[in-house]
Order: sequence, then C-alpha cells, then structure tokens
Amino acid sequence: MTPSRDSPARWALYERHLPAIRAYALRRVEPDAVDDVVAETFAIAWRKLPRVDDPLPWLYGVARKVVHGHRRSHARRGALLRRVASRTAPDAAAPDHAERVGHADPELARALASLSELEREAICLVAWEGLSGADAARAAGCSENAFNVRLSRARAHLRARLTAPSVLELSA
Amino acid sequence: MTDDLLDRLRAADPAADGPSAPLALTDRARVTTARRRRAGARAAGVAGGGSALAAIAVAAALVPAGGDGGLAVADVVARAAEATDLPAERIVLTRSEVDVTTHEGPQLHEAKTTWIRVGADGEPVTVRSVITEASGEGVRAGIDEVSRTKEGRQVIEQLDTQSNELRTIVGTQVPSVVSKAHGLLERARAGDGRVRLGEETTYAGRRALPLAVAGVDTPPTEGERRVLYLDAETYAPLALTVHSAGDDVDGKPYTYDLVERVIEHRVLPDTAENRARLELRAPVGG
Repeated sequence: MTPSRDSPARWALYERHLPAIRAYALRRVEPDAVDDVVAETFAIAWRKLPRVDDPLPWLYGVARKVVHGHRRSHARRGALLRRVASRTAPDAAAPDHAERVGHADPELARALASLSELEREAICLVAWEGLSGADAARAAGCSENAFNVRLSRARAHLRARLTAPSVLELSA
Repeated sequence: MTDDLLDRLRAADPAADGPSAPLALTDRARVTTARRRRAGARAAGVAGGGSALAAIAVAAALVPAGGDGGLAVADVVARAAEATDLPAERIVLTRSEVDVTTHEGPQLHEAKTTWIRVGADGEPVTVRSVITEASGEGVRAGIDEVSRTKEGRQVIEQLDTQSNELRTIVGTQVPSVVSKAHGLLERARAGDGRVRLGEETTYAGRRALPLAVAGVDTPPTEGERRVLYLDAETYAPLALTVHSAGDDVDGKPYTYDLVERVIEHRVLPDTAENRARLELRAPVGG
C-alpha cells in the first residue's frame, strides 16, 4: 500500500528503502555525492510517489535520473573548468558503473566501459540490484520487452569483450 | 538469473564494501533540505543556474512515468523503437484488428494473429499470420500464411482454410502493426520525415502519447494524418491510425479512416511447443 503524504508514512518508506537506494547511488557516483543523490531521490518521491504495491523499482528509476543529472552537471563543470584553465584543469567527469568497478576487477571495468550506458544500466540492475526483468524494466523506464533486448545485447557484448584477447596478450 | 557473467559482476559490486548502516537521522536532514530547496525552486520558477539547481531541474524534468515531467519527442521515439524491437531467440505473439471506415460507413474489418520466431541476430526467422475474422470487400477469414526462407528465397506459403487451397508466393509479409510501428519509428529515429508528439491522452482506456508521423516511409500526403498511439508507461504501440479527407476525383467530399489496434502483444519462449504454433494449420487459440 502506498503511504499517504503524511510524514510518518513517508519516513517509514524512506527507512525501508534507504539501504537499497543508497547502494544504488554508491555503485554509480563518487562517495561524496551519494548522500546528495539519495536525498534528491527521496525528495522527489515525497511528492510524486505513484500508487503501487512495490515502489522500489520506481524509486530506482528516480535515482537513475538524479544520477544522470549529477553526471551531466559534472560534465558541464568539467567543460567550464577546462575552458577557464586550459592547461591544468582536472578531468571533472563523474565516475560511472565501470569506474566504480575498476579497483576490484580492471578487466571487467574495461569491458563494462565499452557498453552503451543503457546496456550497462540494464546488466547492473540485474546483477547488483537483483531486479527481475519486470522490475528492472520499470526502473529503467522502458517496457519489459525493450529491457530484455537491452539485457541480451549487454550480456553478449560484455561476454565478447571479456573473452577477446587483450592488446597486451596480442603483442606478447 | 545466475551465471558466471553475473557472478563476476556481483563479485565486483562497488557497494559490497560500502559504509555500514547509514546515519538515518543525518540523512533525514538532507532529505528535508532537498525538499525545501525544490519547493523554493518551484515557487521561484527557477529552471537552471547553479549546479545543484540545474541537477534538480534535470531530475524534475526526467521523472519516470507516474510522475510529472514530459519527454522530448526524440526520447519517446527512441523508447518506442526499443519497445517494438524483436527480442532475440524468442517468439512474439501479436493479436491485432483493423477497421476501415469512409464517408459511406464501415468498409472493412479484419482480426489477425501473428507469431514471429526471432533468430539470434534479432531478425525474423519464421512468421505466421492467420486472419481469424474478416468482413468487407477483398478480405476473407481463414487465410493462414507462413513466411520463411526456402531454397535461398523469401516465400509465403498461403493456405486458404476454407477451400484448402495451398499456394507458394515469392515475397515477405509485414508481420503485424507492431512491426509496422517499429519500421516507422526506426526511420523517424534516423531523421526521415517529421514526427510531432501531442499531449498525453487516453486510448482504449490507457494513458497514451500520440505521435503524429508524416513523410517517414512515404511522401507526405495533403489531407492525411497518421498517428501512432503509444502506451504512456511502456511506449508500446496501442494503435496506428490514418485519417484523410478531401475531395475525390468527382469533386465530392470524402473521408477515410483506418484504425489498426494492438489487442495483445506477448513474448513467448522459443520452445518446441511454441515453434509448433508457426506451422500452417496449427491451432490459433491459447
């Protein structure tokens, strides 16, 4: 049952889904941006939560948009910094799934980075958020059919990248 | 879904070693602050400026279906093209109906069931369509057709179940209204023709987005209007309508309306049992 807009019910929703949304954000943005992403997600949900039995896929969808906005802001700031201080401005691009994986599994990170953003998100919603196809489609904002197409492409591309010999292996 | 690929992804989960239970009270304060900031932005009508407000504006404009905010027509076209794409190694079942009405009244009605078996490359391998109902000039119920590649050629095996006449025609069929819609959307995505997104409306009891298309696959025709109605939540097609009006060759006014509706659209596993549905004479129901 969807909580009414009264505060106790909304906070109960927040407490119930905070760990999942926080983990979602942690997987996709730098650590010091996680709290802001989580706060924006629930601030949006406060007013716009639809009447559904399980709001978590919808919350993931909102979080996805907030993460997207965060990355675009980073890109704009990075571009501005580069224009203002052309020689020494650091690359201010926000990390995405691939970069967050980099330390644990560099080969996987490279393969993940070669996918399109939609393909990466599809396979990560299944692997990391553990969503079913139907729920992942809701989170991704597409039909289940479209999601299955994205997921099958993501799996095929990722498998191809991981089984292809690396440049170092080829040159050895 | 468990397999080595997903297991490897799970092993590299960035959140696996994340911070333990968050400080809920601290995070509540952030949510309250974010709510106040958003309320202030709404009151001030601020649409940009500053990275935090820009992020809020972007997030507000991109709230998924069920919330406020619209999508650009390019996004709608892209999502609808994805929703109508064929899933590899599946069988897609579509039931559709067509009705044609002119200024003289109802002209044609046809109900069709189509199965498409999709290969590993996402392309149709076999297509079967059966006309289950038909009335009007030039249409008959009981036409059962299977399209496949035979001896290197695309052929249609057509069975008239009423006369039991079987013939083979060289060519391919456009499987269903969903396939038609996908073709239109992919061409629109490539920049062909003009596409205009209308205000959200209701179609067959569902929230719908009307997408007017012109000159996408045929040159635009004066007096003709083609609209693809998309489900506002899933972007799957609900109906394709064509309306044209004008004067005929004798100078008399005419109207023509074609409505092709999707009654059912399902993805089935590519099993032997489901593949059997794509054979001529196989039962249609179920």
